[in-house]
Amino acid sequence: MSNRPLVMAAHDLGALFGVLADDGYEVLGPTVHDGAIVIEAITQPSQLPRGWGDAQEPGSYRLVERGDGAYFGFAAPAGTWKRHLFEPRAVLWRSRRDGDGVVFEPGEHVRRRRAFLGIRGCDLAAIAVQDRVFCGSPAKSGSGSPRRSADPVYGAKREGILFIGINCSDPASTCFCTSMGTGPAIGERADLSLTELDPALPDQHRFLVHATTDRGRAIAARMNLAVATDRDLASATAVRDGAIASMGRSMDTEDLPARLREAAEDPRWDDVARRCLSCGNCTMACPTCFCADVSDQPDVAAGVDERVREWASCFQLDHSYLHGGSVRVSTKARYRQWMTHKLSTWWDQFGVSGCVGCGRCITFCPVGIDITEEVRAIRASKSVPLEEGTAETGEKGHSR
Amino acid sequence: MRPVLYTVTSAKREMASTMTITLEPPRQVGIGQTGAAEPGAAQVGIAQTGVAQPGAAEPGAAQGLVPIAPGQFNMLWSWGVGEAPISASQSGLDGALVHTVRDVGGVTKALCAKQPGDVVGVRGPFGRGWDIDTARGQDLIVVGGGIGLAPLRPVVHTILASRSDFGRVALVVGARSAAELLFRSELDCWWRDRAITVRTIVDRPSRDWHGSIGIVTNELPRLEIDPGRTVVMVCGPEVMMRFVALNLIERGVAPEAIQVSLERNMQCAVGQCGHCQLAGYFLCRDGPVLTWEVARPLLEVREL
Amino acid sequence: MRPITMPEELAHHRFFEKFPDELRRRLAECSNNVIFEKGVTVCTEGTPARSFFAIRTGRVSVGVHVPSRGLVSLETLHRGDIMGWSWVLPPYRWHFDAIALEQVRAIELHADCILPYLEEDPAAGFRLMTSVATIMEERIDSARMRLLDLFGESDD
Repeated sequence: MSNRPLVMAAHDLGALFGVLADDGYEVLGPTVHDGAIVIEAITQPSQLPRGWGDAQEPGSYRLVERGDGAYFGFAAPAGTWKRHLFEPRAVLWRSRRDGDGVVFEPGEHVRRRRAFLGIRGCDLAAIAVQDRVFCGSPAKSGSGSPRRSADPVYGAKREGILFIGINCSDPASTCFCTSMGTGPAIGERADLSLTELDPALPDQHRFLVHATTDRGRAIAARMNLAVATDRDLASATAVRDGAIASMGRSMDTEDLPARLREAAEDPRWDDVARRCLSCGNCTMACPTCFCADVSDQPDVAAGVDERVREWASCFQLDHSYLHGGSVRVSTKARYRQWMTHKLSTWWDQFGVSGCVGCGRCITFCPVGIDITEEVRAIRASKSVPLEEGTAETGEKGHSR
Repeated sequence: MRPVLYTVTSAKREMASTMTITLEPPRQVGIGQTGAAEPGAAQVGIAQTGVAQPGAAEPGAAQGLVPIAPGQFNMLWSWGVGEAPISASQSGLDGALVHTVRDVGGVTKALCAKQPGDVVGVRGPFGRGWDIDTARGQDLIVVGGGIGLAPLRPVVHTILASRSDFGRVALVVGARSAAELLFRSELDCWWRDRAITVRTIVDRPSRDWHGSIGIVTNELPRLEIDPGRTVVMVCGPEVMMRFVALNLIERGVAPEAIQVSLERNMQCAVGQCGHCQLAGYFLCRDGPVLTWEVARPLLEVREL
Repeated sequence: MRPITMPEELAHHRFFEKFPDELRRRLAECSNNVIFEKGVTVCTEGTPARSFFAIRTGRVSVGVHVPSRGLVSLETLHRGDIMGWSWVLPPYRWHFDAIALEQVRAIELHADCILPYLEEDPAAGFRLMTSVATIMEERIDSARMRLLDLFGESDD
């Protein structure tokens, strides 16, 4: 089977849904809900956000009519794929009182064949990041930590997903995937990768289709797609180049983990703390944030106790609670924890950046705090890192 | 990961708010009741270092968990209440677990109320404990404050079991009052045996207390130490550990020779919930024991 | 075997071990050995403080006499510790009681002998006073830490 890219007419998207349905896939994809593009189960192309684009700015998200027929003419969706893998609330297991003993039952681990349709480079990267958290992938670098445990609940959701990616054509002002090396092109990270071409020309509107896995090729083969012409390839290159050129933001990641490690006492944290509401929106919008509360939620009358995992945020005061009080009380400390984790300590833990450059944290911050701007400010800061060498010479000058 | 159901075989009150419970693993059950392993669940395994790895604790598992090492912890579960991370106050037992629990919240209150015959769920063992091997052939100072003595007790047991492997050993124990000295009768035994130096010191003496009064750092200058061959293990309130470490560093002990056991919010115990992060470390997995060389720059940053 | 001299005894005590030889020699001239048997009063609150003690062996309890409770002990001092700084500061009276908890061997250093020397040699005076201040700091640190009640129940 040739690996030559293929081309699919836009009106054949329905046929793609048909093939997926025939194979028993539940399709998850972008759809408009309450004035935002979210990720939900969809069954036909009409549920896609056709003709909708988005205007994303710090603290602002609006859908805008594009005036063309593009199905994927928007940037990172407001909703994340994360909630379909690492769910906002998951019952890990359940236990029931049985006489003097306790009987365990599994939580809800419904296994479905699922296809993620229209996922972008940033979000594919985000899933790869969460795979490292939940699937036991070893960290590339770091402290020689023991092997991670795999989480069966995430694993059940994650297993066997068919990825039909979209090469992003319309980055937002808040996007910086090029800086993070996660997009806009998705390369061979999906089973099938699509590039939407000429959405403004109804008779030319089509997708370049690149099948990169056997599963992807098998699906493409059943759709009787034509081989892409040089013109199709050139158009796709133009889409990619256009996306790169219109990338709204950038972040200098050179030596960033070390730079942030040294900046623990930077005055910029005080500055951002004056703006930050510690609402936790950034962590909820972020496709990689994985913090969760794990607790028992018993129904004692029914004799059932559920072990529940629910999204949590490092911006919550009780996130760092120890008996008697919390470790990170100030907003400064909580913002610092979030940002340095994302961009610095994540590398120690998982051998990868925790930020994929999707820009959601910028868009959904109610006060428009911009992580790229904060990085720039800290890089520009003259703050002196904690004095080196005191560890060898012993304590000096601690107040009496 | 689900807990393994252990049965409480003894519950000993140490003081008003602290209990030591002994847990026996489930009895061996027949084939076919080993429970279906969850897909992707980690296997029970022993790493090359000999430190037990977090195992898949499955209901109906024929045995208990892998043995817990000094300084490691288990998640103890009280049905209908929740889980708390509790370090082992004794190790090296054949299957049984001993945990000393101080009642400081909902879960620990429930654990302290357990009676023989009650069921306690256990996940573990988790984390990296004390690096006792680095202390072999060296002098060792063990400093425990309050409930912090509990995770150090298995260290003392290990030393006493192979006393000649270690040089001079001093145990310094701090407590609020004599009544709140943990394992007091055992401390008396160790003191009488003189296999190790035992120093106890209390904040608030009662009238019948004839021992030392003050804080553990007051005892340190009274110990003769050879800083070049001294290993230190400290557990107690973070402030206490900081002052102990600084005191001994001033006397020339190397920061990498000082081990401290840190405490943070822990919920999943497998590095996935994020609560126990201290910079790049998940204390549930990379800790709770860190060397002072590693811990100091992190603890120096307020609210890190 | 010759008997150990007082300057040598001072050199063996951690308070004096890093002192210049000359200062130790002069302090030795103001010193004598003393033994307190178990239960013997070392000093009494309000009485003149004419000396201080460098403990060589044994333990001393420092406290306050409270009617109906007797001596309420505040801290214990041990081998290597210094007991007393009331001799340095007016009105030169002990602020606390102290008794020997067991047989205590100590070096007693006499203020009437030391103070004139310190006044004529401010460098030596500074050296001794910074060491006394270090002891005071240790005791204050210790008292503050105990105020924290780190091992107590949290109040929340």
